[in-house]
Amino acid sequence: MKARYTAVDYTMLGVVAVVSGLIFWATWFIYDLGSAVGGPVVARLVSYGLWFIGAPLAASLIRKPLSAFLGETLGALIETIIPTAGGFTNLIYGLAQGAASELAYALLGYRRWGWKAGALAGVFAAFPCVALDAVLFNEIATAGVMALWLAAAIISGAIYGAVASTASLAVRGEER
Amino acid sequence: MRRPSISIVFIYSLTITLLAFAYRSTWRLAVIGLLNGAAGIYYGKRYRKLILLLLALSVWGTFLDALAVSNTGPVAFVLGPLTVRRGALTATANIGLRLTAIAGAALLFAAPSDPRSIVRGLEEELHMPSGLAFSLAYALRLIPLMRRDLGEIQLARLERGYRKTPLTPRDMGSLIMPLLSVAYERASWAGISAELRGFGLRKPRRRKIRVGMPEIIVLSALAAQIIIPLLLP
Repeated sequence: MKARYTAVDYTMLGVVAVVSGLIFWATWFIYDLGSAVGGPVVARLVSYGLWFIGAPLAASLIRKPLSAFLGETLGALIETIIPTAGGFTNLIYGLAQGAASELAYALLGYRRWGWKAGALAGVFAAFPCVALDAVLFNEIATAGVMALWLAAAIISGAIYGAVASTASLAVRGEER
Repeated sequence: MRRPSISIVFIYSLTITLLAFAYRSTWRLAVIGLLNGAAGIYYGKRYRKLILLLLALSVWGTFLDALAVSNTGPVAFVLGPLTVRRGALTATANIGLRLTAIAGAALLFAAPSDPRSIVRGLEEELHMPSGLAFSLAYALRLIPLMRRDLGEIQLARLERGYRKTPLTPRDMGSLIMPLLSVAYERASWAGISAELRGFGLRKPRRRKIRVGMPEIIVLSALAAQIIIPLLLP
């Protein structure tokens, strides 16, 4: 697997960064509205996966080691520069979620880039996200409630991860 | 007086964010929350309404979360069937102040400078890898281009008798896919063009971080926000 990045890869990362950065920015409204209307579980279900899509988008487009990590991290950096109420917290989450999604592609040997791999990347990103919520924002509850929150984040990550990978494949002209 | 160096403000904002998570007491959070919130809202005029709206929504969402998670301790007030306890109010105040500090620090970093000089500062002073700086610079260049593409796609939709603003997932797909396809095609050619012009041979410019009066003021403000809260309970 080639790891050297060319200028084309970097411009692709730029596309992913701007698309995911804008989606991350808009997701704040979705999360806050979801939280205000339906509480923490609904908020996580409708929004968390959107915060994980930088990784599957970049990985399915670029298909090189570290592309998932860089896609998520650069999207978070764009979100910080835009800026949003999350400020530099976005970058902390982006680094952790990007690393977790990268792990999913690494476990698949950097050979699978389809919707299933995208869904797996979204699932992996849910773990550090919920952990950071607990560590940084004290969002700690009983084991049952925490499991429910994690399940909502996992489902959301899987759905949006699969959608993001499918969109990337379609853009590459490999729709299937 | 000139603006402080981007890298110093970056370090300031990042440290304030970390402090916001390190401090647990309401008084300590109040110091950094109120200071950075006020400064951020003053300097970040462009984003003021947006950030205030996001903060208000976040605090409301936090309150609902706190009712589910931290509604413990003596009763603060009763609202119909809902009993709000002091634990929920304290948790909401702490997280609200934490978010205000983080948002204020982000505004201080992002609002006074244009995004391009932020990327240049990160590359030249903080030694961000040049490939990543190129990606970020390209992403920022892409934003106005994608806005123009979006206008053209919306016009094409209107001329074909479809609604301009997407409402259904199908609408969304027919709007986003051409937008992504055009961006992908453009990025391919921009990348090929950069590669042919010797992208791999490009040597990044590096410069030392300037430390003058503006930087000393920023670093002093940071030091004060580390020392003063430590004197509080």
